[in-house]
Amino acid sequence: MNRSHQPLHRRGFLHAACCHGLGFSGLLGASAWAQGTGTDAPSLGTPPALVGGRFQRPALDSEEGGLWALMDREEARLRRSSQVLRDSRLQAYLYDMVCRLVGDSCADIRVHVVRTPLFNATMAPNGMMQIWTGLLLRVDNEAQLAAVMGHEIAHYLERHSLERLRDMKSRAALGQFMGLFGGVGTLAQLGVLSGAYAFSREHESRADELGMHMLKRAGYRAQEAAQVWANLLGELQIRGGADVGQRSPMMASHPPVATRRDDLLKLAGDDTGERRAEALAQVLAAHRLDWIHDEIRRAQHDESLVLFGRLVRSQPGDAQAWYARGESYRQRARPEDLALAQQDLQQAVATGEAPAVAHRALGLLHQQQNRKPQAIAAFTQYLALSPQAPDSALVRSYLTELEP
Amino acid sequence: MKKITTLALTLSLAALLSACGTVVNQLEGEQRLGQRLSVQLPTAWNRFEQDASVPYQVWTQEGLMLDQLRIWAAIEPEQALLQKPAYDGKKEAQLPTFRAGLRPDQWVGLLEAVYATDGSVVSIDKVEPTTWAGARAVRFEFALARQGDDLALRGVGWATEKDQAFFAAVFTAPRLHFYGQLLPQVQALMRTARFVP
Repeated sequence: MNRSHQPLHRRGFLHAACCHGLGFSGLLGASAWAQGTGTDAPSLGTPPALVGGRFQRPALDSEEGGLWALMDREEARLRRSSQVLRDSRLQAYLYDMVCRLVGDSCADIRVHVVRTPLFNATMAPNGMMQIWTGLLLRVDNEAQLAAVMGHEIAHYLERHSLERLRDMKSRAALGQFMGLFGGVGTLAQLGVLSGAYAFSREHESRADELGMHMLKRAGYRAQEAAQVWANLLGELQIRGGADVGQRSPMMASHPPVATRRDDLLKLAGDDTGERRAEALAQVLAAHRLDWIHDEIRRAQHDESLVLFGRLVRSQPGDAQAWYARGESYRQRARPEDLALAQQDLQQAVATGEAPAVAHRALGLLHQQQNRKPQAIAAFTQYLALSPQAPDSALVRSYLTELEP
Repeated sequence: MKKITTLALTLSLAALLSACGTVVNQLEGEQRLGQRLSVQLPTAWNRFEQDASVPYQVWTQEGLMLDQLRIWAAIEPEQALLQKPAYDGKKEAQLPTFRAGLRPDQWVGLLEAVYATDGSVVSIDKVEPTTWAGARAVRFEFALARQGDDLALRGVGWATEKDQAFFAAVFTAPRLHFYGQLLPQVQALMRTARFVP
């Protein structure tokens, strides 16, 4: 999108005030959860005294109080946002996860799910956590989500935002200026914020350590923290290349993604805990197809195919995963893609649980290849399953053209 | 009361932004777009001057931040619908690119990608065949949660292909107040669209 037409980003500074909230420009918004550990030999060391006493609200006239007030205002705005998911079951589920990770301190933390198809999680100093739906689409199980949340919560409990704010004060004016030129993850912001990363490396390392401690204590399988990175690596490499960790302006001062993954594995050790894949899948099921469509609409099909390919391999009975990959192939539409699309879409239909749109996609594919009877059958099935579909009038016009 | 407050805030924002100095030309009468498409303006519109590498024109009534009518005229095969972004050290992101012979659903898909590529959430509400500029076309309506400022927008678009070139017009404005207020002007404008020999 032409930057000159992007809306002013009135929250540039606020995003900086959050511990994270940073995307890989315009693409996979990798969270600051994704920042480097900065340690050569990770170890848990002394178990951190991180759980226990709840925060007292800081005095309003203090530096920290001012920061909280700023973030409270942002949170009030976020609550009204049309992009925030209002699903009480999902909210309760995420709240229970936070409590499992931090015990009584969970009363101070609010989790907001924001519908944005990028990988990101942020934590503000007042206890406001944001999780973007692109992240929820990408985690395989509850343990992976808990790993991200634990890392974010560690930043909160250790008040990293306050320290970072102090460090960034000299950069704030520049940051606000740069923030005018685009949304989260623009190069301008990355450039400003990358200066702060040298400071935050220590925090990231600490948050990894504490997050891992919480993950283990809560009984989650700790190796899944590293798996999040392993999963992301494939998508990042599409645009970033094999050496994405070294070449990205943001990641330049940090260990490569693969190193991060390996460090987390070392921290995890031989732990055996729960993954809880089924529990997470159930609570996300009502939204997942919408999020798949959000991902496909980004039209970054090479990246989406990495994601959906992984889903197909890990869940061969998942009709939505087959549909998602087939639709991505269909929309990418390279000469070799049409056969792959047909194969995946037929696989989705064969499960008996394919979403109606899988029949639509199959119909469009057959129509494109002039297989009229098959196209008619697929479109007819689509309209039977979804007679009020937004594009039903268009599909009916296609049927009229196809019928002899 | 809430609506009034929202409107007042939005108007304040509009007033503020209207002072933000981008060169604007006021358009009236007949306009030729890409030398191939002609529209007769029932009311005046403002066109923002922009770099020639941007493959569409941007028109507005109330200001760029509030309403935008983007018009793609005579886009050639293999031409992208978005400006190529500045080099960011990585392989270029895929841009929605026109190919001759696409079907109406694929025209809509291209335009969806235009608005969703930055992470904004596009939800299509209606897609229907129509006639636009005297040609077989598609009309679609959508909701847009704009990444960056969380503004809830509504949009409507028209698209067609003529002589292996792509033509489209997409209007977006805040769901509250502005979309409903400006839609009749946009529709009136679209009814005047004609291809010229």
